[in-house]
Amino acid sequence: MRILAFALVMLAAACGADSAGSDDTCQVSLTYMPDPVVAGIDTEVRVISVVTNSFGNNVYNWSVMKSGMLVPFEDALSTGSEIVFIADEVGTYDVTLDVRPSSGFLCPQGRASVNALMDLNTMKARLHITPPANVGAPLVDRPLSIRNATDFDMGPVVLEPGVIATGQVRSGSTVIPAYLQFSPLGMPGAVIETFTSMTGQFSVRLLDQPHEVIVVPMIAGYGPRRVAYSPSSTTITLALPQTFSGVVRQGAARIAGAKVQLTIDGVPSTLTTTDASGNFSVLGFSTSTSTVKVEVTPAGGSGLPRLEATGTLDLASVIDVNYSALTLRNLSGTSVRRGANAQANKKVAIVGTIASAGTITAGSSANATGFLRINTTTDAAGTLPSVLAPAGPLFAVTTIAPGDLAVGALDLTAGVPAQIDAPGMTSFATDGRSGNGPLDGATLDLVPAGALALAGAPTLHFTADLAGRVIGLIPSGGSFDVRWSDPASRRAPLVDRDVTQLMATYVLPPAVYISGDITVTGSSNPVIGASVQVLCADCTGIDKNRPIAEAASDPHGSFSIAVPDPGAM
Amino acid sequence: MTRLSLLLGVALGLSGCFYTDEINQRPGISINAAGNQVYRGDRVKLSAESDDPEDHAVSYTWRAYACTEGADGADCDQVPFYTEILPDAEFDVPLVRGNASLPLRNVRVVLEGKDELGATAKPMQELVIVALDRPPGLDLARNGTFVMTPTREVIIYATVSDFDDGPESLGMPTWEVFAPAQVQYDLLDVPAPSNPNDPAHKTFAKAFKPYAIGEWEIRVTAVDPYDQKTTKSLFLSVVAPPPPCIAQVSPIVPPVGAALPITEPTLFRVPVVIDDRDFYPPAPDDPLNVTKFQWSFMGPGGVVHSSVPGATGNSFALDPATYTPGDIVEVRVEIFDRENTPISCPDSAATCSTISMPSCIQRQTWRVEVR
Repeated sequence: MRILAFALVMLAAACGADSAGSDDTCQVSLTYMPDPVVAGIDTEVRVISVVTNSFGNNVYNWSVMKSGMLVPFEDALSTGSEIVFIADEVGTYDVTLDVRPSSGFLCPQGRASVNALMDLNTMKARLHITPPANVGAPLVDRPLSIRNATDFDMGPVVLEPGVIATGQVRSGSTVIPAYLQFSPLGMPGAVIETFTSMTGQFSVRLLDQPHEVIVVPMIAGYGPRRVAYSPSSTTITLALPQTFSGVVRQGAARIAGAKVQLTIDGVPSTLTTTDASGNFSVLGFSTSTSTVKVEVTPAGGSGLPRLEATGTLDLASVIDVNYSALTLRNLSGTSVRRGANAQANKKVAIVGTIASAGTITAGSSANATGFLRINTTTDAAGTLPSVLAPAGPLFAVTTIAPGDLAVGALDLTAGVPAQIDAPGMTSFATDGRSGNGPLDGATLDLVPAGALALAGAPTLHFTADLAGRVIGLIPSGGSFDVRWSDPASRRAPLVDRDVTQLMATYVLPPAVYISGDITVTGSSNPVIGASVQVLCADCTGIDKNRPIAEAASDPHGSFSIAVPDPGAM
Repeated sequence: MTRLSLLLGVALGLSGCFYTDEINQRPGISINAAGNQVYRGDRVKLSAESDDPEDHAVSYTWRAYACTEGADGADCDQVPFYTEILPDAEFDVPLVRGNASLPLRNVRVVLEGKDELGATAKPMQELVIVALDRPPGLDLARNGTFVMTPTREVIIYATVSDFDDGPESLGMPTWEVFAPAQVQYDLLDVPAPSNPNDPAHKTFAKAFKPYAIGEWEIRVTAVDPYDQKTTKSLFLSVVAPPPPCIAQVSPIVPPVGAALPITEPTLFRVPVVIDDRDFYPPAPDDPLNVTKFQWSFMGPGGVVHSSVPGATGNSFALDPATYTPGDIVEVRVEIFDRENTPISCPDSAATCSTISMPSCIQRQTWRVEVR
């Protein structure tokens, strides 16, 4: 009978059901509230168990997992029969409950799959406020929920004055000049930077709460490290670093002169260069569960791409960086032309991405992506000198003149083309509009993407004329992220990613307005000239710090920012 | 002589029983006044004094007449605008005569007195109070508190009033501009705000735009229908435009000799610029904001910074992967307001202040170590 019950439990569990068992056996069912669950930083999910036919007191053993990771939870009742957890991310939370009755009966495992939905009516963001230095308050970075069609007047936004933290960075008796990045616990975006003096002394205003600080030593022999810090502490102690060693090779061939750096749980190691045997060692700090990013930049002229790989590596092992067997082509003699004209003495960046450019192994193995950026210059005849590049579909970004770039396809898969085309700049005209009229003074940023980004091309900035029109030139064949914003706050910013041809008209979305009045605790004076930015909550990389919208507090300490209406996105 | 002798003889013959009452004397009265000139609409206080030979109580009657000219009543209203029977009189001088068509120029005050036996003071007292025309009121103001610089327009408000005749009696005041030198300026009519809840005042406005630095005087004169004038001046100090100041930057600028290590794509930013006109980010109601940013860059081994075409926003992205780890590069921003004042410091200067004020710089340079 118990076997039958267990089978029923398994069938029910497979269906994502919340109960198991038959009438005369122990049954465990789980329900949760609210239903449905909308993911959010303040979304508390309460899971309730109902156990029948256990015949005795029960001991509850809960587990909540998401994407293979344990999710913290708390007992909601002293009996342990209910728990609560925060569903701050979209996705499925798998809840299991094992019940051990005092009767010794066996109860099936209770299961529930809590699917946290995306809140389409709310946009998660961060409010990043940096007061002027003379105000005497550290910057803050707070979560912000922007709701559909709802302006949000925050009222008084009171900054804490914090404390002046002074101290010295040391390792034993050695003082360590360093670059420091402080971030308060629970507010990772509120990073405050400083440099110590040459004697390791620092003085910086921080929130009066525990921090983490990334210490990047500026002297040899010490590796960067993230350490816990309290503003009341007068010393940041840096332990002697660990040494991680490895080799860079391509099959049996060792690669000398390659730059190697690790980033371990977000903290960089020291930078090193492989020796003649391809060996390297860097200084840093790691644990057995560290997420490690390995970046290898080969010496110029090798034709190899820069390798990047991220994985959970065992840095106690030798780090083996192994380039794939890439076929290299020599571009010598390839002509760079615009139309019929050879382009003499022009800078050319050969760029591209190679999906499987190598592997990096340290305990486990990670596939490495290759990023190719080779800078060269055409000769007087407009041809490329001897320069190696891996076979494959690449791009050539030619600088004809300052501000005049050309993106040409360079397919080295089957061989080397005789010519690289450097097409002329393409003119564009585009209008920024609200729903019912032109947005004069609106700004348009064209942020390079793809080949242009790999070549380090700059963002192009334009301002719309009285008709809301922007006219300009962009490199043919290039792609951009199109970013419109309206300084007059009539409409919200608009982003259109990876665009090769601009549309004739962009209608900026309706805005909702975030406003407030900034003061500092203990002072009735308004904070004037504070930078107020609304930042993306979930972005990574450079977009993490690129404002969705920004403003400065006025002479009354007030600010108002137009941000996209989540309901209109 | 014979008749007189007869009367005397009769009188003497009746002496010891003959009696007759004394004759009641008239009281004497006068008006006490602080002066004989007031403005129309002023409050006038008068008091009566009396001197009765028999010390009888004296009662008074005050009458005040509105007049245009003269003191004899020939050009006064027939009906007094004020009567009172108390010793003290207190009244407001009317603005116009009884038919409201003529402005009041004089007040003829008549005081009569009578003692308790009915003896009337002779003559009755008269006081002619000259009612002067009050000059118009005038207040000058300007919009904003911003620093005045050449070509910057300021709105000047002249708010007039006329207690006597009302603001509608006043025309556009006369405006005079006293320039620091023979330099050009603009002074143009612009619509003025009106306040329906304040009918006693009327506001005129002009847009003033000076074209040179120095001390400027805007002199305004209001004239009422009776040629009473009020003149006031607004003084404006027009100074050279202050340069914009970089108020905040990110990331941190390393100290001299150090380099900022960057390991991931980084946005170099100027979140706030302070300026008299071109504050950045601009206020929503300041669409004319023209703050300009120009980013320049010096690559590894470079000796000068080169402007990056098109990089004119308030941020500049640098991807360290574009360079070789260990490279030292420099990112530089220079800011300009609408004056476009050239930044003349040498390229080697990491910062620059066009007014030699370290707290107000227009150039910032980050020395960066690519990691």
